Amino acid sequence: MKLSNKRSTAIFAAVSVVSLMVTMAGVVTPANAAATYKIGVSNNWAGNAWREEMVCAIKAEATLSGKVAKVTVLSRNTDSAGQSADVRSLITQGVNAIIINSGDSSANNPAIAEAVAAGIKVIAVDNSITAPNTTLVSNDQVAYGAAGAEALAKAMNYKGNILYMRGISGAGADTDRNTGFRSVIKKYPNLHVTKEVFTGWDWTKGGQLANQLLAPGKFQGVWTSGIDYPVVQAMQTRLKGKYIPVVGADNNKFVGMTASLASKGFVGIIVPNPAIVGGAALKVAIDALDGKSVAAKNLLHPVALTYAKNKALIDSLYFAAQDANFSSTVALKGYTTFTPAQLFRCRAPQDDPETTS
Amino acid sequence: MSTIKTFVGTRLTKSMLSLWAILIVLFVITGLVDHYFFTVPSIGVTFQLAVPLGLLAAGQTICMLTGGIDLSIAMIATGAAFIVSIKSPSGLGMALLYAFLFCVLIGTINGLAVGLLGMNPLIMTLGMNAVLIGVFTVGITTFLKGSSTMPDIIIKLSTATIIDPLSWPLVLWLLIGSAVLFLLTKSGLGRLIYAVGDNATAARLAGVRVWKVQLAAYILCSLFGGLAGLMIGGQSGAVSMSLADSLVLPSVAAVVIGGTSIMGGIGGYTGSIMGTLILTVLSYLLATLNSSEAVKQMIYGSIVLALAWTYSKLTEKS
Repeated sequence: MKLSNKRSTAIFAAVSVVSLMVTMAGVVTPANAAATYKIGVSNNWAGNAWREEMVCAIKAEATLSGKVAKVTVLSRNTDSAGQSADVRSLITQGVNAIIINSGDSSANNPAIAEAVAAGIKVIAVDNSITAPNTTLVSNDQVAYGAAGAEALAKAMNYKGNILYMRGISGAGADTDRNTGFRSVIKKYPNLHVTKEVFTGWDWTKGGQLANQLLAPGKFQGVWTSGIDYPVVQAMQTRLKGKYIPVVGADNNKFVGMTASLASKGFVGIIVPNPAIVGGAALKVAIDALDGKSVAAKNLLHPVALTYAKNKALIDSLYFAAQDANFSSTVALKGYTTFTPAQLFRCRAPQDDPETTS
Repeated sequence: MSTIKTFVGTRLTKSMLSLWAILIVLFVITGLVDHYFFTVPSIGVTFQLAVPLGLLAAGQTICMLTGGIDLSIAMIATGAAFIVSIKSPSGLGMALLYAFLFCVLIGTINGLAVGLLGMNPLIMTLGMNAVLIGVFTVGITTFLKGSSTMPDIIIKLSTATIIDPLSWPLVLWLLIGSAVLFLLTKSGLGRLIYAVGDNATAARLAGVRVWKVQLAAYILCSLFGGLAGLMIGGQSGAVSMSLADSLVLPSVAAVVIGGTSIMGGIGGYTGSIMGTLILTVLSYLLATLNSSEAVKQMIYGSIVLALAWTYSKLTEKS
């Protein structure tokens, strides 16, 4: 089984990779001439649905690219010391590129510098890092905050009180989103953030806070940093079904509620934060390994979606068979090539190809 | 035994008054800060959100009366919620049965380790907590994959209002609370729990099978934890690893504020109910204040410490 896999990848190797190996000698392990790129992944938050999907996107895209022999994923709940150890472990395993979702923007820099010095391409995904000679692939979080705020302001007729439910105080994405959010809100003098809370990006805590804080007439709109559907659920009981607009992300259940509750007057504003940004990071990693020039910052530009304007798109984003907190964006134009089924299969190039259809 | 009871009785009347005073003061302050607080639905919600903590405190009270403590209670709650979430598509009854068995299993392990092997309850349950965190961290990507929401019926039972401010969770709490009070004050097991906590050696010499009492205490505690977990999941509509994390300290604090001795043998559930209500109003008050999370945490911790300290001073004098 492994032989046939190698044979099929060898076709790609013949047309693209072998020629590359000549130009990029030293990057690809010369001892294994027929094999292609080895990709390492370091993820500091395991057991989180969004991160799992990000890893699956990397695997699926790597399999489809035909240029990757193996994806090594080191994924666990760890601190910076642990993640640095993971990065060093990937270096010794001889990977050609490391895709890292870093828990800290600078604490892993020494390990990352070692990787860069060893000729390894380092791609930071989702969370930015300050280490030099690395590439960033992430959602534009400032634009994320601004897009949702602008759509919320419009849905609130530019007046009223906002319940502002942020993520983790001090986290890079939270700070960036706040910058975007504030830049929009300050334009409208009749909009007031009367309550600001941190959900810690935790579904349960977000739901508890919404239950505690929502009361009829108290707020006219809610902005969430992605902890969205528990807030809508709380409205069903706390506001007796009198919905106020909510900004959320492309979480499957929130997408479903935005569609199904539209007829009951609910305005859901979806600002995608695709987990499959991992697939985009893989594409950028391969481009870099192929010797193409890649930008230092590759940002996705999120756009706010409402059911009134984007009905067909929102309907297509809902996957009944997937989990509530599945990140519903399943394709990124110019970056990813997998089908939803291939993403769900979550298969790396070295995995048993039996399940391939 | 009768001396213990009268001792507890005189303490309770005096200390109860001070607990009521603290609760009313906090209530008024919260109302002044947030004028939405003094509406009937809002008070109903506050009571409703107090129920999970009240259930956790019930378990913790029973454990602490035997001289023990259960620090794995939050992860037991999380586990029960995970199990019901993942099993409910194949029938709610089976899902609840699995969650029940899970709670009994963990309670049994905790109880046997403390009762028979003589392990320190703090170390035992903290260890159990770490083990469960590990199991669920692995499970969330494998055998627990997809457990993120609660079945609708549990969401309804955890949030539905009958007539403001009376809600289904509150009714449940009234029933369970009465049962716990009956268990502790009127039943044979209740007397044994006090006896073991007061002096385990004396209880053993009097012919009490101490380990059996401890086993029962940890199983009951575990079951209350599981029930609380389902209710937290139902109220927030979502299940996650950190479901009940933030309630571990409050579950112990509510019991201590309520006057139950951490050494065992003294106290009761009435005090824990007051402690629960005080901490719930306090957390509402802090959620209303527009201050940073860190400041809120400091205020919360300081008030809990101050309450526990003043309370122990107050009751010492009497």
